[in-house]
Amino acid sequence: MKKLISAILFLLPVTAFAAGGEVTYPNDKVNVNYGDKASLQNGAKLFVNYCQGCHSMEYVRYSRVAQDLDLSEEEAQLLILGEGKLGDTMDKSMDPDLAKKWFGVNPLDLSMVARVRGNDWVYNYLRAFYIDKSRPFDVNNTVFPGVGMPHILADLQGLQMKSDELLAVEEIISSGKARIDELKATVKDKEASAGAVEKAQEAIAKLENEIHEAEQEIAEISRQGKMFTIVEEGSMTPEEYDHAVRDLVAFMAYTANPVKLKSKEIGLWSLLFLLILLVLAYFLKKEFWKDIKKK
Amino acid sequence: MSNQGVNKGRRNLLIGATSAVGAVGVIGAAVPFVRSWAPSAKAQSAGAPVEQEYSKLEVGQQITVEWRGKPVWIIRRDKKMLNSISKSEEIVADPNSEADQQPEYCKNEYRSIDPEFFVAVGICTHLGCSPKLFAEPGSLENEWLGGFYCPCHGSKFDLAGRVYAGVPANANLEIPPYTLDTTNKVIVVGEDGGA
Amino acid sequence: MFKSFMTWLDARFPATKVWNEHLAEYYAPKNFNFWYFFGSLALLVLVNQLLTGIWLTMFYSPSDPFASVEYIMRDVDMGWIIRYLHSTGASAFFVVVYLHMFRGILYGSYKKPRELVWIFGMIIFVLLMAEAFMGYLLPWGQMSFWGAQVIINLFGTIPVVGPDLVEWIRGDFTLSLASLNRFFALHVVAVPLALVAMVFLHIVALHKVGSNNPDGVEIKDKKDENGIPLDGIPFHPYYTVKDIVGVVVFLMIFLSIVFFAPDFGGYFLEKPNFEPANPLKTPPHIAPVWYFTPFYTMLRAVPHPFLGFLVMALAIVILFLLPWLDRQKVKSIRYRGRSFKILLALFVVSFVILGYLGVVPVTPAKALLGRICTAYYFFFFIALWFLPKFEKTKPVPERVTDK
Repeated sequence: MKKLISAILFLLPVTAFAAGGEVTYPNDKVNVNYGDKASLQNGAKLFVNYCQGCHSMEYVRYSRVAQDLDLSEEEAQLLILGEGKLGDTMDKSMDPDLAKKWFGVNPLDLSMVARVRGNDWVYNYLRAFYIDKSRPFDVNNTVFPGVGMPHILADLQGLQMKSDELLAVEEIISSGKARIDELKATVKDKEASAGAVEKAQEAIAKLENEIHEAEQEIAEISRQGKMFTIVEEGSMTPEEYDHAVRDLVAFMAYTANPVKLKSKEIGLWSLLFLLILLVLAYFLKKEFWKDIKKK
Repeated sequence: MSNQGVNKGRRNLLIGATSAVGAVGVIGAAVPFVRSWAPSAKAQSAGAPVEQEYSKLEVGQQITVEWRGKPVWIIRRDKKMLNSISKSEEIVADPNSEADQQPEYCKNEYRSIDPEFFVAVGICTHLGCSPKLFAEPGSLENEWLGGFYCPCHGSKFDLAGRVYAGVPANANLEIPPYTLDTTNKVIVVGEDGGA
Repeated sequence: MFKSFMTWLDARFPATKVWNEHLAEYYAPKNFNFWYFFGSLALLVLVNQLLTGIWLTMFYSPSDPFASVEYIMRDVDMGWIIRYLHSTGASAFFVVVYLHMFRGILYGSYKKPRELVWIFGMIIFVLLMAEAFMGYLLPWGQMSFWGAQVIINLFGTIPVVGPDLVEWIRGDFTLSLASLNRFFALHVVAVPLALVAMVFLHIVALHKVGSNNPDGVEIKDKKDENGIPLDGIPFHPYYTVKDIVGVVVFLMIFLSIVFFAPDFGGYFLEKPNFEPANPLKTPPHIAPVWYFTPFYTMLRAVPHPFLGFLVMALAIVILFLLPWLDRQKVKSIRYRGRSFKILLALFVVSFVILGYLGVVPVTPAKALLGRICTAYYFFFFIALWFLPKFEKTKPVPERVTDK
């Protein structure tokens, strides 16, 4: 329906707006169920326990969360940090100045991050931390390379490393790119013979092809879920962990757009109402226009 | 264009039906506009119940807390003050608190849950000034039994917030909904609960 | 009762006169088709924007813009409906107005004696663009900020005065709340006032000369013994009941977007705009909202910044001249030659491509395509001037036809 309307209105392909960023892996779909209250409640608990230390949701009120997620007042009180009241917004417990000292930046407000980045991105991001001793917190992330956040869910997921398969393919890509740079220098070199330039260009084309194939290989590895190997087990199995992250993402998707379900409900009723009005208006028009036809 | 052979009944029926359904639509469309004027979640949060410990409150002392932007008095009344309330029975306009100026659980002589603790919105029912406490008999004028006096237009209230007859104000001081939590020794202003 | 009240009123105010002149005895051609819905729909969207806009102003705060929009979306009871009605309404306004303008080109509605109707309409279009541009800054998200940054900097390309002019527009050395505050005032008071005034003039001018129709025939040329056009029917009730049907269908589409996909896949509300404006971090891909993209592509098509700005401005200016550029006496496309039909079809295609190119990142091939389409955009108007020499038109009927 969405596609149909847009096609009619603008004759523009919807896919044209795919965000500017490149594809990262893993690239799985989270398929959040906004109606699953249990999942949202679990997500809220995870958020409060693991994220809210550093990240606020400054536009979200506990009272609203309690109401929308079917939490009783007592259950909602359990979510509230410190002295907070039910009507308060979900501020972080950490002092922003202190946070800036520790992390170099004041951690992002997460009220709407799922709407900015997309649900899938958050889901993949939280599952893509791997050990990288060169980073300040000893972890890096394939979805967000050079990330400045520690792997806060490590005690649930455990610690993982890039799998040998992935490393092998990445090696092909990086060495290929390095080689291309060298060859390009040859192509640009004015003193190089015509034959050498042609040879270099052929080699570049071949390498580019290989890199392209390697990138597809990564997509395949990601599809099979073989990007990482666990080296230190967490309290959850990989399946349990994915499930927990899905709940967390569901909660963040909810806070990003808390009226999603309500909106659909009101939308359906108003369409139904307009349908009735349409029938009446149509017959009214027909009735009056009988005058014109008779002329 | 001729109006001959027009089925007037059918036409009027259709006009009526479309107008009626259309009117329902207009009312429906007005709902968000009307409801958006209600106190927002932010305002409701700011207007949430206010807690006040009372164990440290001395006898005869008055404190003011802010609830929904209004001054709310909490006064710990002693025997003498309570006696003065019984004496003012004759001179107040509404001794039995018939007017709806208090929650049901405060519709009594002392207009409170526990006679010792008087909780009231400190705003004169005349034009919204804040009356002042003159607790001692004779402190305002010779005949004075003790009560509240509004400096703006001279309205007088007794120590249960009942308005005197013949003053500009014509209703007793408002008693907000509140809870007296005797286990934790706190008064929660704004939370309906009684004792 | 009602009658005596009306007598009293009419003695003091031309109520019945206005009603008759503009509705009950305003004779519109009886052969209006689908394309004639968009005028009244534009009026409907205008009312929607005014009402929701007034309500949003009650809760919005230009000193804390981003947070106050979230306040509307979350804390104000049903505030999100009002906001989505307004944001979707902005896009709907352009959809309706573009189609309304296209109708004018299809049936030559801007030709003598309706040149002024077109001019007033074009002024409305320009005001609408200004209104939409300034309104998009108000949520103070990343796209609001960087979009406005780019557009305001266009004025900086003007030789000599450019940099000072930009600073004056912003009222600061960078785009800041000072700039937002003045945009807010213009968006909620100045431009809407001008818009309403121009809409009024647009309708007054239209009702003076009477509506055109899909056959491009002047219905006033053939009148009956009472001086009523033979092919005219009173606007009320015939077109009011017809427009109600159009309004309901429009509302069904409009509310589907409002309630099911208010961001419309990132076209109506862009994703980065849910992140507060950050002057230190540019989003990876800045695209204007879809209704500006055809003109934005024209800007990008020219390598020189100031010339690009001029080309973009000229693209709007040339539309104002349309009544005099199109010299063909035959109004409706129904009786114009094949050459016009091909020219117009290509114009639509190139305009849509220009729009598409404005939302995607530039590549060399796309830049070339953008240039071709920009060139064609202007070629279309020049070709219209010369067309009557070659065009084989069909005979125009004396009276309107039945479809």
